[in-house]
Amino acid sequence: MPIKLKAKGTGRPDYTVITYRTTHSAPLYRFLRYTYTAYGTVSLEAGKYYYFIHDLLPFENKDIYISSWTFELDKNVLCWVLFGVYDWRYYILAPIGGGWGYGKVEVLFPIPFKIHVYPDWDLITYFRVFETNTYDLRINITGLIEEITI
Amino acid sequence: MPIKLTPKGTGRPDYTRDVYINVEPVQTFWQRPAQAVVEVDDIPPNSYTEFDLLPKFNFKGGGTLVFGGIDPEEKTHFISAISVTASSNCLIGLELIVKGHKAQYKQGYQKIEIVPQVAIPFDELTVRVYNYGDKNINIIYCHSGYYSTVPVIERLLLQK
Repeated sequence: MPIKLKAKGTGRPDYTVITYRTTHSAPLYRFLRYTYTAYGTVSLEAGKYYYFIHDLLPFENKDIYISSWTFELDKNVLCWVLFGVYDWRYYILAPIGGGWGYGKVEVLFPIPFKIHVYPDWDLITYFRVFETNTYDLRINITGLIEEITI
Repeated sequence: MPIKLTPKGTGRPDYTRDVYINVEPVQTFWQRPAQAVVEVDDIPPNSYTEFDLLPKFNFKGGGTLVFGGIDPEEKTHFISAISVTASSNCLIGLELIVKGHKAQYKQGYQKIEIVPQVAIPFDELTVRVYNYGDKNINIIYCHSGYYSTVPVIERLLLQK
């Protein structure tokens, strides 16, 4: 008599599909998403250095993770942008990313970039445009904030 | 008569819909961020700029170095994103050299991005950025990733 390998209506349920896939990733319960947007209309001179300080007071002594940092203008004008962390104790800028672009510079971090926010630190965006004009400017930072520290 | 492949009312339930996929990759406790940002001005046409990033930053020439650095030095950088952008919309090339051998080469207009599916470890890295345009360009190179806080030798011992 042949062996019945699989009876009708039986068989193990495939539990692999309900496994939590958290290896090398973190579940969201520890994190909150955040988006930081700074925008406004500004008059800029060609070639002059400007900077914008992103106040990190709400995140003091916490870890933040940056996924993307975008600088955008309403005109297709050549711009130079440098993103970084500014240490007010020693007046040091630690650049994290930046670039050249027409109207937009975007730095993406596939693995969000972790920054521990010390009390004297701020995020800073340095930029230059190469045409004197009035611009609608937008700086967008997205990422995660760690709510529970383990 | 056609053969019925799946009898009605049988088969495993579809649990795939219960899988949690809303996860975000983040660094684990033994990883720290690593990054490099280098700005070089005035790279002449049909020429290149070259600099060592790992194990130490060293500018080798071609254009004028504005600033450059790598943090931290002398660590294995697991690089998850590389970008180089130029000040004009011309053809540029990015070459990664490891121990004198070409590891990666990519071309593009004004912007080149390399985002590998998994972070690539580099103990040694030299970068060349080519300017194929007809005028001088300025460039900004940056990469980001992480480094391990566990020394390599300890990791090997742990695997035993």
